[in-house]
Amino acid sequence: MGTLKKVLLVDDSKLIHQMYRLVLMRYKDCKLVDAMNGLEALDVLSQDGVFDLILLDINMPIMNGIQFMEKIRADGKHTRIPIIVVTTEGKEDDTLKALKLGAWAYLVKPFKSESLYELVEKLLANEPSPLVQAGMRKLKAT
Amino acid sequence: MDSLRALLGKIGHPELEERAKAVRKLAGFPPADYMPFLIEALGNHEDATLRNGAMEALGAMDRASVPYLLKTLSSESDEEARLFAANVLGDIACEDALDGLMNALNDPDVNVRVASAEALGKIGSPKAIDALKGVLHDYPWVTMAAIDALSRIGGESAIEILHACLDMDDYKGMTIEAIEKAGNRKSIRKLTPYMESGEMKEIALKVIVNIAEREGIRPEAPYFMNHIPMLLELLDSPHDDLRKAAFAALSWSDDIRGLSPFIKNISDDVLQEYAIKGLLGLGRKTVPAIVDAIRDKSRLQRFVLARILQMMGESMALVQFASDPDPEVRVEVALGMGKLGTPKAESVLKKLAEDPSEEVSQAAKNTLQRFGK
Repeated sequence: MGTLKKVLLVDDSKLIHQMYRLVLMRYKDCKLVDAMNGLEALDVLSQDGVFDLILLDINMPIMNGIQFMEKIRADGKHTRIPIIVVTTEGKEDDTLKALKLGAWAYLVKPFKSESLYELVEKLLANEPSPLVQAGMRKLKAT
Repeated sequence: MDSLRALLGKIGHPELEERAKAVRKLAGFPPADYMPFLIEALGNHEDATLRNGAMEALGAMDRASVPYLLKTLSSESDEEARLFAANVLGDIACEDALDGLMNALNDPDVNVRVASAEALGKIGSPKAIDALKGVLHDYPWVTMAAIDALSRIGGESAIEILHACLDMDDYKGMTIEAIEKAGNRKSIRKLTPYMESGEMKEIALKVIVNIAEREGIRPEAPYFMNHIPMLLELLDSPHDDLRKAAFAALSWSDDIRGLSPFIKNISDDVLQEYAIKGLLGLGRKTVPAIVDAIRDKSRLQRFVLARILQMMGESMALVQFASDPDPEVRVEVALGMGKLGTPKAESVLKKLAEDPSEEVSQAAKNTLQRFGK
């Protein structure tokens, strides 16, 4: 079972960053790095691309989450870092786009801490992407 | 001149600079010409780039956008559009939006309520305090957003509400962090019990230290009396902020167990200030340990320890270092002899006045002058 050492938090809300910090407190030795939009996140990755997880909001100014994922895919450098897309209710189009771009899972805001823990534990146990499992049928239908 | 249509077509451009250029040019048109397009784009579920481009544009238009956003917030049936309207109103942070956002704390959609609370925090008006207090028992994310908003508003009333929120078990962590932003001397007293044990002790420690530093307060030593073992343990924390907080608290504690860490970290850029304060706080009982440390020629910045002896008035302890190989230490000896004012001190100073180091000889001469010699 792996450990969570470093997570990149990408969201334009400082409040959400704070909430993530509180929720992820249980992973005591985990370093959390903040980015306020996709462009900042790319900058962080270019300086230090070693992350165990990216928590990614979709709606952000300057560079949104979908654009960020498109860039990652086009560059090909950081595609191995699992991305959990964090989105608001009903964003089916964004969720499917994220799946096609390689997101590992998604969480719907407002999410319970347990939902995030569940996903992280699956990730650390090297389980297959829940997004692929749940969303593949929908993807094939589109 | 670009046509309005062409400019609106660029609001969803993938390149930020193109979007920004279009927005700058749009500002030359009457708002009524382009606002409906931007507002409609908030509800675009297919194109995230257009949606976010519209949010950027509405934010850039600042106060001109507020009436349109408020209308969306109060009457749009699409909860996502209402959510994004609240987000942009927060970014604009204009007091004109206060009433609309306070009403939106009752929106049927939880994300809209969260965004509205967040926006009220960004505006920072105390007028929103009662409305935020009213949602402290809402869905957890709303409660957390309200707590955070209260911390951004600050002031006595908000702080009192935050102190009361410490009783809400599920939100302790959030509340303690919120108190860090807005807290005062009373907050330090309220938070001290949280250093006892449990998950919150480290956060509470950091917050207490940060409030104390911001307010220019030195918390009383008894606050930390029961927490020395925890503080000593945290000196080895891999987290810089925790290590610093523990060190600061130790320096305020006047506990002799801090002596060794203070001396060990005397040349640390971040911790030096606390190490000095800690040693000065402990007073004379530290002198033997400081003298031993100065004798260790391999140690960095021994002159700082010499200065501490000088500041404590321990000039007799300094005399033995009059021939120290480090001129910075000899300077402290020269300065320290002024406090002794004895024939022995004068003799040391006369020797130091002939010192090969210009700095040392000048310090000695200045001190002799004060003797009237």
